[in-house]
Order: sequence, then C-alpha cells, then structure tokens
Amino acid sequence: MRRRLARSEGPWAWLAAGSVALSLLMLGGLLLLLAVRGLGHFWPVSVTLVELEDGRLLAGQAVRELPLEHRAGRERLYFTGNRDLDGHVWHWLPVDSIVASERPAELVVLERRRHGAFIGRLVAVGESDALPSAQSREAAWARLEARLAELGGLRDEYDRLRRDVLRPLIRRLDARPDDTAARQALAEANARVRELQQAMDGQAALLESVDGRRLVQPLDEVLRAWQPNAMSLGEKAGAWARGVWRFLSEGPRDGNTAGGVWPAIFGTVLMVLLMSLLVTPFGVLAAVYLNEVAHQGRLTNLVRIAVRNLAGVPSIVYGVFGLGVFVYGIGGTLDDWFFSDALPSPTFGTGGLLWASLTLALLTLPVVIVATEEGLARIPVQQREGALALGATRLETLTRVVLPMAVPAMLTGVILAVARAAGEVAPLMLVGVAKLAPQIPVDGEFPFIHLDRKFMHLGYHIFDTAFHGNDVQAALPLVYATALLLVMVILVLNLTAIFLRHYFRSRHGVQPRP
Amino acid sequence: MIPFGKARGRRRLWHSALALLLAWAMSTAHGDEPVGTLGVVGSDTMAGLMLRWGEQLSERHPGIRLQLQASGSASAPTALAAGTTRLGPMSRAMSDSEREAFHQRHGYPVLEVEVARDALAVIVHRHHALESLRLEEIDAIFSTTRRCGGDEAILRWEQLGVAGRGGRIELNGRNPASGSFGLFRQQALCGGSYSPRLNEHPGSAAVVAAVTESREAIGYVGLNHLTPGVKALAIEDGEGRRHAPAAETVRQGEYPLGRALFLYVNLPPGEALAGPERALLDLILSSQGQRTVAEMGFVALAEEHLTAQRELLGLDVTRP
Amino acid sequence: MIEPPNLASAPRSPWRRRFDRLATGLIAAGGIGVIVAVMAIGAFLVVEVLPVLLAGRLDMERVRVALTPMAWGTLKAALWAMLFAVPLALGAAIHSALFMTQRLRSRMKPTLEMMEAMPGVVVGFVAGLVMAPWVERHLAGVLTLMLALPLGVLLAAGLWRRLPSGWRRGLSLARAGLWLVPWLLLLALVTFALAPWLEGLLFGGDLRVWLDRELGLDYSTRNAMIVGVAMGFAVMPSIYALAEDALSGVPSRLGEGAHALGATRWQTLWRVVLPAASPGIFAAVMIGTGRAVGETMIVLMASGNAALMSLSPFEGMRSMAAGIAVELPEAVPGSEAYVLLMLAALLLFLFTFLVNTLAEVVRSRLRRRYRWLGGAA
Repeated sequence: MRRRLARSEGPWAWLAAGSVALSLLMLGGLLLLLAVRGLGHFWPVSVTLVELEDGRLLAGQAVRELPLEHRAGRERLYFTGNRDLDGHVWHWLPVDSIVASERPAELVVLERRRHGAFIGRLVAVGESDALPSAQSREAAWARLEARLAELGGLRDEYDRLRRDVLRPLIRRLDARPDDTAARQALAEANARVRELQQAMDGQAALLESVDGRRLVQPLDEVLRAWQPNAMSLGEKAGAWARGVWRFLSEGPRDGNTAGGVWPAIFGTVLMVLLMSLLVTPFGVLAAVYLNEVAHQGRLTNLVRIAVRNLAGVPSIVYGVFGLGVFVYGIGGTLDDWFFSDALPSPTFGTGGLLWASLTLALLTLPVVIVATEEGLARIPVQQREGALALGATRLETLTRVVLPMAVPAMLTGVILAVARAAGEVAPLMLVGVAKLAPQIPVDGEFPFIHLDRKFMHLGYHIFDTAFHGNDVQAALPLVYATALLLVMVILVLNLTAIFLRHYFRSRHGVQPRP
Repeated sequence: MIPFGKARGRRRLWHSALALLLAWAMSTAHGDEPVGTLGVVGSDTMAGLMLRWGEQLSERHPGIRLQLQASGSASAPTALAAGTTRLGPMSRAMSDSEREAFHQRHGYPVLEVEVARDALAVIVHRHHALESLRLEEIDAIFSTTRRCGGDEAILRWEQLGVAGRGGRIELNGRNPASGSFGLFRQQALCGGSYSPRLNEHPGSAAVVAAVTESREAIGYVGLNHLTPGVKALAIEDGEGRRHAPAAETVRQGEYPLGRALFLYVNLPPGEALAGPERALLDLILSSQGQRTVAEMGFVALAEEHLTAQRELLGLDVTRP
Repeated sequence: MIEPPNLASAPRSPWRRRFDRLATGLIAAGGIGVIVAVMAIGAFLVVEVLPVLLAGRLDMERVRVALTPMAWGTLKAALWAMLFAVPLALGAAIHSALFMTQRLRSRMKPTLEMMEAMPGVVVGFVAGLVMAPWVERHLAGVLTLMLALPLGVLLAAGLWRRLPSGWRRGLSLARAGLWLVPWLLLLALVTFALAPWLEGLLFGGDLRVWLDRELGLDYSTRNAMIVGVAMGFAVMPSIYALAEDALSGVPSRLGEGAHALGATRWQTLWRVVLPAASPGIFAAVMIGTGRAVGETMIVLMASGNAALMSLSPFEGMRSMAAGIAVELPEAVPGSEAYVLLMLAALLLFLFTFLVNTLAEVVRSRLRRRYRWLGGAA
C-alpha cells in the first residue's frame, strides 16, 4: 500500500490536471466557435434548390438543423431571401418533406438596399420601360455585371457629393439663409445630384423566383450580385476576402443586420485613445506621488490598498458615477452655462464620447497606478541614491533617472488599461454609446472632434445587434464576426502587455519593496 | 446595341443639361427647392423609420438633412414645448399634461399627425398547437393581479387544454424601461403587475430568440419583430371572434393590442408648413412613405385616413 | 523612496532648489487629487442616496420589495459561479504551481490570463444566445457530462498506471494538463452520443418532463447553471492567478522538507503547502467573489432577469448590476427608481470594496508570513 502511494500521486493530482485541461478546452472551444462562425459568414455559401412533397419549390441556404419533437425527425432552417415576395426571409422545413435538392448553376443572389437579398433566377436586364421578357443567361449576367460596376462608380460620386459638397452647404445656409453664393452652389450641386440619380435609375432586371413568380428590380437598388453555385474555389476565396474587407470598412445597414462595423471600430479606437490620453498622465502622477514623494507610512499603505481595491469595484458602479457626476452633474452645468439656447435637448448633459472616455479613464486608473508603481518599486534604490549623490535634485532624479527606467512598466499598465477599456460595455450603456451613429464623431465641421456626440462601440454593437435588432437569426453571423474582431483586438493588446512585462522583468531583477 | 447605347447616352446628356438649366433657373428665380436641417427629437421605437424617411427625403430633396435624436418618446413633448424642435415622433399619444404644457408655452395646441400603426403580438413556439387566447387568459398567464377577470393564475400549459403540451409556461417580455413593457401592461394586464417569473429581456429580438428556441415559452413583441420561428397568436374577443395580429386588423382597430405612432408638429393655427417640414410630412403621408412603414414591419395607414390628414395639413391631396 | 537629501551639503542653486520643491509639491497635489477623485466614487453614491434615505422620502417597504430579489439574484449568480470556478481554478493553480515543468508553466499562465481578457459581452452573448438553448436541448447530456468528466479523468489516471513506462514518461503527469484535452473531448463526444439512450432508460425519454413531474423543478432556458458556467469561466482566471501566486510563493524548503520525510507530492501539498498558502487562496476566492458580484453583461444576457427568489440552478434570477445597466439610463434623476438604482450601486460598491479590502489585508499578512519563513515572495 505504501509503495503504491509513494509511486503514484493519487486521484486528486489527476483531477487538478483535469481542471487545467478543462479550462483550456473551454477557452479553445470559445475561440474556435467565434472563429468558425465569424469568418464563415463571409464565405459565399451555395444555394440549394429544394423540392418539397407538396410540389413547392424553394431556393435558399441551409442555416441550421434542429430535432423535431417526439423524435419525428429533424427540421432545417433555410435562408430564402425574397422578403418582398414572401414577407419574410426564413423557411423552416421538415427534412423528411424534402424530396429532391440540387444546386443549379444559374441561381443568382442579389444583395439589395431594400428588402434584403434576392435568391432566384435572372431572366433579363435592360431599360426599365422596355424590359425584354427573355434573354440568354450569359448575356443577362454580363449586362448585369457591367451595369453594377458602372453603378458602383456613380454611387461613389453621389455619396461624395452628398458628404463633401451638400452637407457643408446646408450648414452654411442654416447659419445664413440669405447667402446667395451658397444658394447658387447648392442649386448646381442639386442639379448634379439629380443628374446622377437619373443616370442611376432607368435600368432594371427581370427576376424570377424558383417557383416562377416574377418581379422587376430597379438596378440602382442592387448592391452586388453573384452566382454562388457557379463560382470556383478561387472566386469564392476572393469574394470571401472582399466580404471581410467590406465588413471592416463599411457602415451597418438594414438595422444592423447587414453591412459592416466601421463606425464601431472607429468609435472604439477613438474612445480608447482619448481614454489613454487622459489616464496616462494622471495614473503616472498618482503612482509617482505614492511611490516617490509620499511619506511611506501607514496612511500611504492604506491609500495603496484602497487604490488596489478600486480595481475590483464593478465597472457598472463606475458607469453610475459617470452618469451622475459627469453627465448629469458637470454636463448639465455646462449646458446651463454655454448651451442654454439648445435646452432642453442636452448637448453635454447626455452621454457622449467625452464622458465615456472619462469614465473609462477613471475605471482604468487603478490599473495604470498599480502597474507603474510596480515598475517604480523595481528600480534599485542605488540608482536614485547615485543620482542624488551626483548633485541632482529630486525632480531631476525623477525625470532623468527614475521615470525613464519605469517607462516599460507604464506602457504595460496603459496597454492593460486599453485592453480592459476596449472590452467594457456596461458603463458605456450609461454614459454614451448609441445604437446607430452613422456619423463618426470626427468630421470636417468645427471643432472636428465632437466630444459631445454619441458613438458606436464594438462591444455594445454586439449586445445591441444580438438583443435589439429586428431579426436575430439574420444578425447572428455579424454578431459572431464582431465578437471575433473584438476578441482579436483585446488578445493582441494583452499579448503586447504580457510581452512587455516579460521583457521588462528579464531586464531588471525583481526588487522587493523594503 | 452599341450605337443605340451611344445615341441614348447623347440624348441623356441633353436631358441632363436641360434639367440642370431648369433646376438652376427654378432655384434662383423662386427658391422653390426646400433647404435646411430638420431637427427631430423623440421616440427610439420609431428611430429606424425616421432614419429611412430621412434618407428618402434627401433623395427627393438633396438640400434637406434630417437630424434625429432618438432618446425616447418622453423627450418629444419637453423639446416641443421648449421650442427646440418642431417635430416630435412619439410611439404613444401625448398625455393631457404634456399637451397642456405645450399649450401654455405657445398659446395654441400641438398638432397631432398619425403616421403609422403598430401592435404587440403574443407569440409561442412555431410548433405549438395553440392558436388563440382570450385577453383574460393572457392576463392570467402574465400577471399576478388578474385585473382583466381571469379566475385563477395560469401557470401550466395543461390549464389551457392544449393537446400534447405539458409543463410550466415560461414567460418572456421586455424590461421596464421599454415602451412595450408599459403598453402590454396597460392593454393586456389591465394595468396590473407582472408575475415575477417574467424573464425581462433587454431587447425584443431576445424575446423572439427565446421563444424560437423553447417549446414552453410564451412572449410578446412588436409586429416588426415577428419571424417564421415563432407563431403569433390570435386574440379572441368576448363574442368568440378571433383577431389575428395582421396589418388589416390593426389598421381597422379590431386587434386589441394595437397602438398608433404619432408625429407631433408645432404649427401655429392658420400658418402653412415651412419648406423642409412640409416636404417631410408630404413624404410620410404619401404612398412611398407608407410603403416604407410596411417595409419596416409596422402597419401603414388606410387610404382615407391619409387623405384626411393631408387635407388637415394643407398638403396636395390629388398627388398622394 | 527618495530620502530627503542633505541640502546643506549639496551644491545646488537656490533657484533649482525652489523649483524642485515646487515641482514636488505639484506632483504631490496632483497625485493626491487623482487619488481623491478615484475615492470620490463611494462618496458620490453616499451623497446621492443617504439624504433621501434619511429624510424618509423613500417607502422602505417598496425598497425592500424592489431590492430583495435583486440582492438575492446577485448573490445567487455569484454563488453558482463560484461553485463552478473555485474547484476549477484551485485545481488548475495546484497543478501548475506544483506539478508542471517551469517551461510549461510560463506558457500556461499567460494563456489563462487571456481567458480573463475575454470581454463579458462576448461570453454573455455566447452563453445567452448560443449555449442556453443548446443546453436546453441537450440537458441530459450536459448533466451527464458534469459527472463524466471527473470520472473520465480518474479513468485516465487508472489507465495511465497500466501503460508501459516509456509511454508513461511521454504522457507524464507534468504534461497532463495538455494531453488530457483530447481525452476530455473524446469523453464529451461519447457522453453526448450515449445521453439520449441514458435519458430514455432513466428518465422516460425527457429529462425536463421528469424533473418537472418527479421533483417539481422548473427548467427555464436562461438559468443559474448557465450563468454559473459562463461567469465561472470569466472569474476563474483571476482566482487562478492569485491562488497560483500564493501556492508557488510558499517557501520551497517547506516542501522539500516534507519530500525528504517521504511524503508524495500530493501529501506535501495537502499537509504542508496548502495550509501555508491558505490565506492567499482565501484572498483569491474573495476577489473572485467580488468580480462575480459585479459582473454585468454576462448576467444581463444569460440570466433571464426574472425577479425570482429561489436557489434552484434551473431557474433564472435578476442581479443588481444588470438592473442598473438597463434601467438607469431611462430613470429620471431624483425619481424613486433612480434613487433605488443608486442604492443598488452603493450596495454593490460597499460589498466589493469590503471583500477586496479583506482579501488585501489577508494577502499582506501572508506576505509577511512568507518573509518570516524565509521565502522569496
């Protein structure tokens, strides 16, 4: 008995090992889930033509499968598009009722600005008032592609015109309605817009759903078209890459169920940047005070413990503080003093970029203080004594010797703070994110960065799209993709911090606080 | 093909040059084209709808920009009374005290324009055998007070006599801050209080997702959130007639859980609407605007209702 | 840190000296200012709540009705999260502090720190919209898995002992954290394949119906079990990190002494290392509790927010943090709802602050004890 015990470690050691394995498994599983679902969304999935028992025909992409009750087989969810024909875009079909399914190459998928996707056949493309009722498939497709490319250029010019010419002119006229030069410029721009609008419409496509219902689709509402069943692997990979790029570079459409997350990326980055600008100097100041200036007594130790504890206070409490003090307190007062002409609609008295950054700065202050202090404590006392002995004042010792050596620690602290801030959502719900803010808070309008504006945030975007959208099932892939993006950003930031800390530790030995 | 296209292109060039000249002449001569920024403060339920209308408005009149502040229906009356906005969308009717505040400040009543209808649907899993419920049954399921007249609390599906369906009813609804929470309480619970077993989801999509996945669940959401994953129940009235939550029943006011969506306008009596505001209301009360309503999942207004309101606002009635 | 220099002997100009004093004063003022600003959070909440409470403008009965379910839910969520996280975190900490090779350990720690960095909103989304419905459909499989995983690990240990010694060296206990991963995966797959058969055999085909009929247990899709696993996943890394520090900080000569007397590594751990590190582990658990109590997004998205007061793992709950997050932006400042939510925030603040202070005090005691024992921590 004794020999066996001595040789083996007993069951508990194995259970301990098992908990490591389980943790790794959960982490890996979560990352894998996000990666597969998030990245898989951009792959142009093949469209299946399904024939049902009752003779109905449907074309769509299989999304998921669930067991039916009482072991009566399974049912499958198809994304079938064609909201304008069917009223909705989903079909739940019992798998047993499907008698045949194939993937004909001629099926097209159109992404449209209204009514979402169309899945079916392309019959003809032409002038809307003289649409031929039949055309060869190749000719129609070629014409469609050519026209869509042309429309892309026109649409770009249209958007540019609206953004760069019309908006500033409207603002000028809002301020001075009798500005004749602006009025004239606006009239010219208007004429150009009308011209573009005219150039954009006029052509239409005759579409046919797989069960034979036809509709005329004006082409200016079509964003993209593809024939997923006819695409080669290379083409699909290209489409996938373009899809990922559009996701990163475009704004959301259709109540966040389509399009990209660019404003959310921008909002997150801008907020985090502002936050680090605020938190770094204050955090370092407090750490330097605690570690270099304050008398190292019981009181300082108490303060140190309190600051550490604040890192453990829930983020939502910081949000409450931000709402009460920054938004209602300071913001309300600012509105009374400077923006009283706009009251009661608040300018700074409501959540916005500035208040969100400030709140998160406060939230991450303990992180920066603790990390910087750790770095300062690790600098050998001899360094300071040496500088002082050479005749440097306290300030000079601090700025020339101590602080430069503590830079990596500060950097680590700031990066950790940024990683924490980028993932926090709860306080932002109180102090300033918006469901949809198509205008990013930076533009050509004075003062260029609009600190009072609401902004979009990746984390909140996940919450909002998953819980507030019109159709969760449609938005789910985008939620996965956004979650993956957020996790990637945070992991990269954390890895940087870990690397820096490691590098820093290996350069200076650990010096315990005396 | 090619020469045809070329000729067409030349013709189009002519057209556009003509249009340009015309537009320039018109705008310099009459200043006809409405220009300006429209500030709109109000409901967040209607935010998507207002944004869509704003987009269409800028397409019709490139000189108009719509700026939306969607911070909830309650923000509209205060902003209207204070005069910071002239347009306030609300997902409920203004209360008497709100109207009074406006009247006192401006000396005339606020103008109420109904722009669309909406309704709450009671939903169950798509394979559920249940087809309809009476209002007092809904109350007995969702509330602890049973003010609408139910005899006993309904906790299990067996109590409703649904074949092959047992187990406890899982309640799903919205959080107290939402408009649906209050509306459902007013109309379906007769003002009573919710059962503590209600799962309060922070969004309507979450309610639909929960009911899609669970066969024991029941919930309520706005019409625009319905998907084929759930089944919307008809509501039975006292005489045993069933009213399904469809566009027609909501439009006629037969479906009991309906509500109207309003746009409140600050318009002194006897005055005409200013350019951009006129253009917006013209769009909203047009067939295009009402198509957008339907596209966004709300219920469009009846034709005669539209015409009546256009007349009231002094809009062109012949060209809806 | 810097001793005040002996000014008389230093060759410094009066201007430099004055400038130095001024700058130091500014730093001190700034530092104190920042620290005061950080501390203002507690003061702010007290100022918002206390006058209203003292003036008696709040109906205490309503406060009780509104806050009790929320406080209950908060603690219930934290309890289930800790039930999941503490064994997992301590097991992982023990394994990596005492059994792993140094190299593996230096890789493992950052990996688990990564887990801590997972944003709550992502975990909450996966738990609430993906995991909860899935678990509802596979309830029997999931519950079986909870039994099967520890048993499977023990099975692996038994099999391992029968392996040829060459294999055993390859699959050593030190690396078990890694090679058990595919084993657990296999186990999970087998469990889910067998679960429907088991469910048919033991529970008449549907576990949910059986729970309802036999035990009167209500199963709601979003429940404490889901929240426990999701939030346990979120707080486990911070407990792990602190517990691991405490364990590996135990002076090595203590362990070596026990080894020399013939104890196995596990006996050493149980009788010597664990008692020595227990204050640190206590602190780790406390800090984990603090985090679980304040976590917002996971509870908001996965708990269902039903104002129930039960302990059942299959029913939902409503937590204070989630309530604040959704209700406060809509509450009119000064109104009853607003003050109530502020009160909830104050309670959260006090609770976490106390728990963290307790943990910090215990930890500093521990550090002193290690120093006394001659450790390096």
